[in-house]
Amino acid sequence: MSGGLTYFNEDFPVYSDLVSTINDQLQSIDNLHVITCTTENKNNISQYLRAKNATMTKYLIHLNMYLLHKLNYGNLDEFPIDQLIEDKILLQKIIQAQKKLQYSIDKLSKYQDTQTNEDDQVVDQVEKLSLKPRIENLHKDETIDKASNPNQKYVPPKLAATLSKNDLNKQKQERREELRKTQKKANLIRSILDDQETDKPKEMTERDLQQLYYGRAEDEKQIEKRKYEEDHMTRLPTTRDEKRRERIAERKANVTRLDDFQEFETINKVLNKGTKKIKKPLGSKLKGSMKKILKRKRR
Amino acid sequence: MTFIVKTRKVLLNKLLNRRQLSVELLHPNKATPSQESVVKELASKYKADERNVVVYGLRTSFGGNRTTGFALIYDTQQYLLKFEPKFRLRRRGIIPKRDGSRKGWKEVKSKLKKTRGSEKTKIYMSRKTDKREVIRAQKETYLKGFVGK
Repeated sequence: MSGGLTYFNEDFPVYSDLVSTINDQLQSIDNLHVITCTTENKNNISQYLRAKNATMTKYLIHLNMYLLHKLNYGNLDEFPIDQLIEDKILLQKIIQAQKKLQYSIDKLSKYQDTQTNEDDQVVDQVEKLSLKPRIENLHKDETIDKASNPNQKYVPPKLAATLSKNDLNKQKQERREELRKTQKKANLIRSILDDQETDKPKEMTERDLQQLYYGRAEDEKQIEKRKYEEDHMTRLPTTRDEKRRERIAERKANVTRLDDFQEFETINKVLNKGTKKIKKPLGSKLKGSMKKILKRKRR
Repeated sequence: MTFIVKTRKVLLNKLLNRRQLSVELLHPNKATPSQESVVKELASKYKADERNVVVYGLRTSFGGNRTTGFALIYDTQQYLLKFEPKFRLRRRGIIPKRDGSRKGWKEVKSKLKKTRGSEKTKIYMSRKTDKREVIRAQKETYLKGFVGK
């Protein structure tokens, strides 16, 4: 007993400090417990805190009893140690879940601190807006920056008028309606003019031009040239490149024609121009050496 | 009519007293129409005198069947003579063609390069065929013989 007491006396101040801290925390938990019981929203947090609170107090009480029993040389077999073990395991599992609920617990604790500091009273209803994050704290204080760097140039903010999406859509719709109106008027006038039956030739519009030139492989240069000629009412001379292209295109176009066999005739004539046709004499048979010569030529 | 006439970019030029337009002729499976036939067609369509209509720049597109060109329709013959360039008037026969050869003109040019001052002008004036006075006289004679419709 003396040995145990000495150890107890040595460790007692530490133990007493620990117990006092636990007691303080228990009081805070009790206060929180009061808040969670009185609030209308019954979250998982309140249930968690209640469970944690209950198991912690129970475990501490049992621990104290166990210590005192041991110091008084009581029979430990009679003491319910299984309960202690159960409480410890429960606590461990409860504390593992604390990580997930840490944020909401901190929020509640902060709220509690603010409320108690103001009025020393606990408010029943929780104001959600007061617990929201403050975006103002993200901005830097410009006054501090100026004081630190006085040579900084003032850069005014970039302001530009912007239209909302609805306004843009409205503008587009208005333009479309205007176009439709003008097209209707133009069609009316065109129908009236057509009804007059004048001798004047029909005027081609740009659309007709596009249909004409649709599908033609025209270079940008050719298009530019055409437009220049039409605008200035002149003809530019044809260059060597254009003539070369025309020749190539002509050759390509002629190859695709299957019904025109005139070219083949001319080609055959050109090929057979130099060759002389050897006529076989009628009623006579060629003899040995002449036959050989003929065979060679025919090959 | 062996071809179809279509017009584009019809513009009334009041400063030069004429209508200028670009012409498009469609003549499938046929040769390009002559300038005279085009002039007749345009004069009948626009109710103008044939002698006041000028057609130039006719060019057939690759493959045939379509030609493009330009046309000018003057209000009167006087405006035609005033504003039309000389080479087109020579084509029509209003002004007679130039005498002399190309070689002769090149010889004169080489002489002009070597001379200066009054001698230069003498050489130039001796060779110049299309003088202003001569051309004016030729135009006046043409107008005298011109009978309007």
